[in-house]
Amino acid sequence: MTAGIPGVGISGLFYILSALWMPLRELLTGRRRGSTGAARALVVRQTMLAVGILAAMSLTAWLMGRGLTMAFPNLPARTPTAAAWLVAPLSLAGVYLTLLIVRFVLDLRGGRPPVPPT
Amino acid sequence: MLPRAAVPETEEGLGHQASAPPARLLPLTVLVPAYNEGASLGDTITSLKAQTVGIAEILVIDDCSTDDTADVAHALGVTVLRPPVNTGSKAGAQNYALQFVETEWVLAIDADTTLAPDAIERLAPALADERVGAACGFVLPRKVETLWERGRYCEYLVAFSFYKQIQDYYSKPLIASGCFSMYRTSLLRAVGGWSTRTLAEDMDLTWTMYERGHAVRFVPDAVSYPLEPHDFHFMGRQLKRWSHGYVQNVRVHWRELVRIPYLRVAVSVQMWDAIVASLLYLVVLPLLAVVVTPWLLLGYVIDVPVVLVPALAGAVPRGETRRALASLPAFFVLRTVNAVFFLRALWSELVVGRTFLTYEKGH
Repeated sequence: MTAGIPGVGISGLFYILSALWMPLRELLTGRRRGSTGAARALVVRQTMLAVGILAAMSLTAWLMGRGLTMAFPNLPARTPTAAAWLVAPLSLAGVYLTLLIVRFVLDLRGGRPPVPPT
Repeated sequence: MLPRAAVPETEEGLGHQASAPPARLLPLTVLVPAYNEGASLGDTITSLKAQTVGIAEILVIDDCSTDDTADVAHALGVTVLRPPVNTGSKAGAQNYALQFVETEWVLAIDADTTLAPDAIERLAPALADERVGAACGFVLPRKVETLWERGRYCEYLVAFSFYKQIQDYYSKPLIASGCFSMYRTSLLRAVGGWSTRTLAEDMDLTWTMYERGHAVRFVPDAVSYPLEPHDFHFMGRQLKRWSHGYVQNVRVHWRELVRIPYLRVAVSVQMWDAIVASLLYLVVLPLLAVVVTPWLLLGYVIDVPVVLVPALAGAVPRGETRRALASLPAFFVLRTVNAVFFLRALWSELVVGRTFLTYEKGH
């Protein structure tokens, strides 16, 4: 989220995935990057936050699923929850794929050279 | 020689010289762009003078104000610069002052923003790394009273407690906030200072830094407190500026952005969310609620956990749990209003091709 820009949908998912990747990244490359104790504390904190958000989201999805199936008795019980869990990852994958395609097209058309690593 | 405004210097002298001797003097010039900020500027300067480290120079850029901005600055003993004519934007005022900066680092702070006493001391070490071109800190509204201030308070808690810290871990903070950021002067000059081609000069500068191979850091312990828009009039002006600025920056930078790892995904998903969420809030949900069932109005708050958990994570350590909980409903109101401004900005900038570049102050 950026303050002043609406929406916490797939960007929320993106940051949750980013947070969940942090411990693995720390294990795999932490020593080479000269990771500090402060960085490791940050990793623990953000990972716990991501897990907390996922747990709270699961509870919300379950409650909403119950609500919708009460409102629409003919609806299969798992449909709302399953749809919610599918749409966001598919959208995120779609956005990422589009990015790769755009970059590929730019490279084909002789775009600027890659930005040097910081 | 600085072209100081033609007002007699006070007995206290210029800059921080009249303050108590600082423990350590930083090679730092602070720029405070100000246009009719007489009511809030005093608090900003006072908080700068109360910093736990010394500042080489404080420059207030009085952008041809019609109020007592210059008098307030002079009374507090800082240097006042006055451009020959109003520069028309914060970026313009800052660029005017940049030519007079002689220190290694420069800090930009809004004239309605105050700092925690140790904010600069905590922020400065980030620039010790020569690769770092800019560093920014945590932002929290100084006043949390009205609906709009409460909504913004929650936005900041979530953004700075969760999202921005992750961005920093991956070395790509999305934006070094213009209300309180420090820069390496040489790099700032090398990229041309603050560009006036968009209305979000801080985002433009941050992305330009990345494109030139420089790093940007976020330091959560360095805390600033801006005054946020307290009513719809001011909030509307700010949201208009921010939403147009965001779209303008994506338009200006997209070719370079797709080559910058992590940042490209962060910007893309943000853009996707902003478009889809805006359409969802303003078109899809109301229609479905009428056609299918009112239950679907729950969609407005379906993501409460994504907001609540990080907001509490930011608020609890500050002892502000009740304030965060009480402010949460305002977040959803602000977000829906925000959607209107974002769709209008998209339509204006990308569909109609009408670029909005008039800088309207709205805190």
